[in-house]
Amino acid sequence: MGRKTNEEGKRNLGCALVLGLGWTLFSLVFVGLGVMALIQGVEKSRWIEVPCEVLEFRVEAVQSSDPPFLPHARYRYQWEGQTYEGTKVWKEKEGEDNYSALALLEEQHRQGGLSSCRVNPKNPTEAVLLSERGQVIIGLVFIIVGSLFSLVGIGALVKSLKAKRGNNQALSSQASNLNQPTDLKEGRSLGWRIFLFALGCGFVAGGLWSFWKIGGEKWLAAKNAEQWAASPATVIWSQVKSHSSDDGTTYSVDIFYRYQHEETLYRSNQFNFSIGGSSSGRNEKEEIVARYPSGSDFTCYCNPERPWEAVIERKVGKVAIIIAIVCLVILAGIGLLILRMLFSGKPSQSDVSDIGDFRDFESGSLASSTERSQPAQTGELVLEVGGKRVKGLLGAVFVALIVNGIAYLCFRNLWEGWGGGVNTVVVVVFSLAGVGTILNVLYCLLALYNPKPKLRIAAADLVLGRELAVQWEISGASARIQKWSLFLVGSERVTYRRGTDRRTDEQVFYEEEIIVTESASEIASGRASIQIPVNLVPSWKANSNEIIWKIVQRGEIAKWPDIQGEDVVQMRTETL
Amino acid sequence: MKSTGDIVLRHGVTQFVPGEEISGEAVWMSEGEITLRLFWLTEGRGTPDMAIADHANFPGSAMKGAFSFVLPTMPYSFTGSLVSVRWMLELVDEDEEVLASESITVSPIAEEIVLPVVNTRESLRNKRKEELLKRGER
Repeated sequence: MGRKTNEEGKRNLGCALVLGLGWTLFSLVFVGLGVMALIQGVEKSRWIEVPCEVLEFRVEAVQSSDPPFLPHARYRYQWEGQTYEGTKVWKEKEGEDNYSALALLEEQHRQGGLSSCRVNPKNPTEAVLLSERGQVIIGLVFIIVGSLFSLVGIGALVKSLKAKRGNNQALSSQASNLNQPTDLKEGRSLGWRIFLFALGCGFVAGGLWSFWKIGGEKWLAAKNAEQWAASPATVIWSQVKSHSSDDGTTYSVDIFYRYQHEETLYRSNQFNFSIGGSSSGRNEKEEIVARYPSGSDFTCYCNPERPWEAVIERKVGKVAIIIAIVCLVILAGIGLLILRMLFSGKPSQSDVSDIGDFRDFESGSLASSTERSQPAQTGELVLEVGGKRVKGLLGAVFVALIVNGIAYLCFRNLWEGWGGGVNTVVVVVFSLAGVGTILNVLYCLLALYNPKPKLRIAAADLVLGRELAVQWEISGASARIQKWSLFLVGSERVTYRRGTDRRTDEQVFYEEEIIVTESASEIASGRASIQIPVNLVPSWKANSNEIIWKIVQRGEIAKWPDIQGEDVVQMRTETL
Repeated sequence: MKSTGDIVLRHGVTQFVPGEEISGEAVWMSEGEITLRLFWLTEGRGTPDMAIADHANFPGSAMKGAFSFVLPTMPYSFTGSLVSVRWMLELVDEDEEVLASESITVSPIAEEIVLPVVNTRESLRNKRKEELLKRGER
């Protein structure tokens, strides 16, 4: 067994090294891209802001152009006593897909708010009206995310190298100190745990933030728009825009319109509250476009406080909803996985079973690892299954709410003719899963009304080689139970990693029935005993390996959820 | 010169019961501080665990030293189908290079306990899962 473990260890070590190196290099590419973007962005932001007189600012709308909205500006500025005239709005960009941003600039120009430009100090004939901060932000995001991922890779590399060095050393030298049992492969330093905790929390916070920024804020805007004023509008152009990429073609609604508010004409291309973008499903978009043909009159809704803002439908765009959910699920999911990985290092006692009183594996000091398998247990132990049922029901309700919530959203989209074939598949899958979760809630609800068994054991009897006597009493309608069984079970339980999964395997080494009865009077209450063998191992627990003993109870009820319960008990030895 | 050493247990006994005293003499040819450690470790499918139960330090110049430890009550030396626990004595130099090591057995019957396998529905399911995984890996 030892040789096999060593070989597996070496193979895993090699894999970890390659993975760590690959991950680090891949992450560093992102960091590099971020640094390049940041340098370029900073370079541009070094241009000096000077006052200017904007002589002209207008937005040309060209349906066939990409992007369709092209700002034209003419402004005059002074640099070191000399007057220059500039026409460039941005350094790189030529125009915008979204008219709203330019409408705001038009409004600012109308109100005299555009009064500064940025001049290249090395070549003062070069100036721009607006700076592009996007590059700096994108650069920073790439650097931060890339660095975090690099640190994970570097951490894995360092750990692998340490482990490799450790392979040539004494086995006992791999214990980090003399007082704590050590998990050889997964001993994590405090710094590493803090980093993982921060990373996990960061991802969860990022998921929540994205969900709010992409979905929540749009939903709030749609709610506020219910107070906006109805304004007469005319469609300037209306079309379904195609966007081709390697993943196929996606479509978006492109309706550009003018509207009047208090005798002023404005223009907008905002259809609903979304984040732009496109999706599959051309038919649905064509139906929308058909409702607003070019030249037709309709009613849009205009923000009375910012009249250059208008919308046709006061709803949140489906692309925004989907992206918000995807961001939440992916980012928060990664975060929760990291946190789970962090906290699964030492399996929580609740993983072991449902009754806490008998799982007090306390210990600290070395002598240790010994005593922690032998907590002081005295007097009578009472085992009940009630609390677990309520927890099970709450968990089932939570899962059902999430799955059915997603199913509902997908179904609503499908009902409104959005999404096409892919959405139909998602609806079918989630609807089936939703039905399953509802059935599970019903099952848990029924199980709540099961008869409640109560077991009593003398703690002193839980010793290898002694006779174990168990007394039971079942409250509620015990007559409904057709068959009642109690078993004493001893098993090995190990936890290990395979790839990114953390797995737990269990192998039973002892299983003996204490009682199996179909007699109604015996089921209601009774007493039974068994002789526990002596040549076995008592309860013992290390970080990833343990010996557990438990009392397993089963009550079979016809056409109703069965009674099922497992209670971990502390088996001791005569010498202890 | 390569460092070497030896652990000589009293009366050559390597099987003990928990709580018993284990004693003997360690000899070495090495300089610097020498440490003798009594520890257990796990082997098997699970992530390995280990803990040092006791240790003794000797000056390297002494070339030999007597030791005596009282064995802890747990864990026992056992072999299971998923995990095994081994007890060991290890003599190491300052660089953590092993000079000598000795396996011992600690259990109430002074023999390694071999855990049997009971095929419950769950364990059969685990076994099938493992076989499928192995096939997948191939």
